[in-house]
Amino acid sequence: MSISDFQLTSMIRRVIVSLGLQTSLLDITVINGVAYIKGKIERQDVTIMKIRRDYAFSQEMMQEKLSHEYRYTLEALDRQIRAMPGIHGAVYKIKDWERRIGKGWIRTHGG
Amino acid sequence: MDENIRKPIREEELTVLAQRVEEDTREAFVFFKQMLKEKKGYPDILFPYSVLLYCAGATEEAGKYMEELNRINDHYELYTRARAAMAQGAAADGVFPKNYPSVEFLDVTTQLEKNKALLKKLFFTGEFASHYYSILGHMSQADSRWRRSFLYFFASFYAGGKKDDLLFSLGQLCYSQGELTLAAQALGEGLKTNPHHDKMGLELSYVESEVGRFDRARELLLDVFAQHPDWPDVAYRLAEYYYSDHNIEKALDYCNRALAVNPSYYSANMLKFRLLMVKDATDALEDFIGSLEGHPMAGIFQIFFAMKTKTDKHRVTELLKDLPLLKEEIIEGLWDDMIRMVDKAYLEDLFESLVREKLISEEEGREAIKRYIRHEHQ
Repeated sequence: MSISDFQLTSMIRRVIVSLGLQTSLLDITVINGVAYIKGKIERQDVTIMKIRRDYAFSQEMMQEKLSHEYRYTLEALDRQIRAMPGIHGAVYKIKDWERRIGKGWIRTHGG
Repeated sequence: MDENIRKPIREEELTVLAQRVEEDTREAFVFFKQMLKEKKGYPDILFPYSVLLYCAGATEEAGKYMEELNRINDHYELYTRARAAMAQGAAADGVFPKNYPSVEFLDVTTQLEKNKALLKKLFFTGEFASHYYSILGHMSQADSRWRRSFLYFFASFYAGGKKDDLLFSLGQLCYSQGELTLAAQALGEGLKTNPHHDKMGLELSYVESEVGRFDRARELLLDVFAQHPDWPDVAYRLAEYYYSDHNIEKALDYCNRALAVNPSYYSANMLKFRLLMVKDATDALEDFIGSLEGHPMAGIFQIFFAMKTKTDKHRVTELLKDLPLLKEEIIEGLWDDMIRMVDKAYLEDLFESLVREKLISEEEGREAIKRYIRHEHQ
């Protein structure tokens, strides 16, 4: 078996772990070199919890800060996946987020 | 990266770690309070929060949270034991474990023996101490403080933690840093220690498949599947393995097993659709798509099935109008394998029809035809 979808799925899972995202909330698969990732992105670390605590006085500011953190994480995820040998592209169905060609990651809901 | 794990533990590092415990505990409180406020990870989050409170001396409050946890989940031995120990007022500074199980990985046993006297001065042991340091280790890991995380796991083992738990934590730590050889060593030793560990085999299979030891990965998955046939993730990984190994029937079998447990499993549905398309199983495809009514993937599958069976192009165009993102993804080449199963003359007509309907630009149409029809092997 050469570099295969089976192997690529493992590689993507590790990238997701290294970015601090919860793998249990994401369905990951690679079929014929295209990655399909569906689910919810959630980081449970002190940085995220501090944002939630420190900006509790303003829902708008909190969401802005959280969006910034998550956008950065999603950009890193997409960049690292596309850089993998054997990957031709990635399709995402991420709750509250969409990746639009030429526009990057857009938050679709406040959530 | 690797110095975070491979570097031998120095005495001053342990001293610094012991000085950090209080501050890290305060940070952990912030984290867990916020988690509780948002009901994230509830009720399991009550366990680490309660242990932290207990070890920080807030025994009464800790007992309340542990009680709450047991009211919701009283069939997990860890929780019932913790409740009983808290009720008995387990000493925070308990009995020093006399006989540590030998850990070969990174010479943990040697390192422990070498630092035992200092560890005894700096860290407490007892019923909850190992959980406490382990929680701080996981917190540090989530915050990318790798070395500190490693040291906390080491302290957790010293405090009385189980060998398989230590190896699993260290294996995950190595894995998250891309230290796959080390991760395989830790998880492999962990699996030998406890072949029935809930997560060790599956975790190790991910490592083995990433480093290209596919047969070993398959064996591990089959072992886990034999113990847990109701874990859809394991069944799905086997389906993925057999698909990569060109064994369509076995892949389909494991896909069906995963879907029997979780019918809305996205990855399994995606793969099953591919497998049925490859098999050209028209009736089975119709049944499968029919069974997915209301499922978000049903519309996408319907379109590719319609294309493959050369359904009227106007119908396909109408279906595509409902899924504008799919159209973009097709143009980007993300559904290559599906598109390549469609008759070329039909496909060319379809792209031209999409241009006429102004669903795609002329340039996009030309690119699509070039990609899928004219130069498909480039």
